[in-house]
Amino acid sequence: MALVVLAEKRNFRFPIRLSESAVVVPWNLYRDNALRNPPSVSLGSWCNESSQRIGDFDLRFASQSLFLELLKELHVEHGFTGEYWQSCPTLADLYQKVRKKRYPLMSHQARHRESLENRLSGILHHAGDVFACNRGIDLKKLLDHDFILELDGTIPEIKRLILSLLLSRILLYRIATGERTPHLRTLVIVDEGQNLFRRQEELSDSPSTLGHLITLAREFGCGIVVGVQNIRDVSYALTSNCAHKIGTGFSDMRDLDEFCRIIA
Amino acid sequence: MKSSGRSHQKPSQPPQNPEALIRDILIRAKQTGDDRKPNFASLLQIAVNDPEDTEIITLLEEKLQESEMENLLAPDAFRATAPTQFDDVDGDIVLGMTSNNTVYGINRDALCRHMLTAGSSGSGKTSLLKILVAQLINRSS
Repeated sequence: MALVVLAEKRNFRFPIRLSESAVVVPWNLYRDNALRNPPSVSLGSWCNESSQRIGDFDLRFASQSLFLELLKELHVEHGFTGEYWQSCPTLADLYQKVRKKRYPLMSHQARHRESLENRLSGILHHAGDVFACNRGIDLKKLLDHDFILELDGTIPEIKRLILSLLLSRILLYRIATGERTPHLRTLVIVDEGQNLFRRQEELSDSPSTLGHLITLAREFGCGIVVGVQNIRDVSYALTSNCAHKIGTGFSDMRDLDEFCRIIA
Repeated sequence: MKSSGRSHQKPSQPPQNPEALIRDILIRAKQTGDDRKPNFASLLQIAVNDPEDTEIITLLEEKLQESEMENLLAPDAFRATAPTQFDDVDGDIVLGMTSNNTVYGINRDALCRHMLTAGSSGSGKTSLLKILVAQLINRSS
């Protein structure tokens, strides 16, 4: 069974002492090409998924569509069809393409282009090393180990992007390659998951698809354990999909009320 | 121990130390194959199986009434949802104790259906996750 821990702090290093296969990676040494599809997952479905994940970076649906359009153009330009041995363009390449793109001033497309350029610029300036790599981490090897990713020391938005991309990769990979099984094959543990599953975003015009992926992953032996602080801010998709709910104590009455409501 | 106020059959011998009595009951539970820590309900079942031992039944009835009174005076939001039967808390991964002081466990395959732990800062969420990780690693290695 593969164990993946997405830790907020540096308090999940103890598995190194317990298991030889445990690997702890700080976020700045982690590498992920957001534009490369996971093994066995089609390029088209990954393009949709990565546009969603970048879209979670406070990007409106129309700008996500522009992202998807330019991403597909970029893949065609680089001759990338999704095979693992091919060279895949990176977020930095996409950023350059967005910058060169010209639309009539004051048009909707120009506004979306500017919005997309700002988001990509923000991602690359905060975590350029993580995303400016061609290949990224080998997901098959990652799932052969007990993998702990430490996310302390970066801004919440970048944490969220890294987490959601990795979670999507694992879930889509398991769905694409796995048989339907009641036995646990992969367990993803997310500490401080309130940033990843936000209720506010679920109520917006472009809700995240992570909740939908969680529903699908269950049938393929992929379980998720999420620790959250403010349960009233956590998405309904998460609370309704978790069969087991444990409350460890609340200091806010609104959280206590919400917890009692969801376990009722 | 509080008096229940109910009339019980007086034991022929002077009452033993309650802790010693509970220990005896636990030993009996172990002998009958139930090696987990039993709750009041299963203790009562053991006592019912041995109706001659009126002292145990009296003691358990008093303890149950005391527990009911405690619940009435200080209702806990989680008490109603905490498991009371050991069949419900069976599992190969032990996560800790509930507010009813019963051991709470979960089966590994049940984690496929996802788990959510919620609580304020410092309430033990991360400790719970650590216990889970340590047990999963120990079992797989």
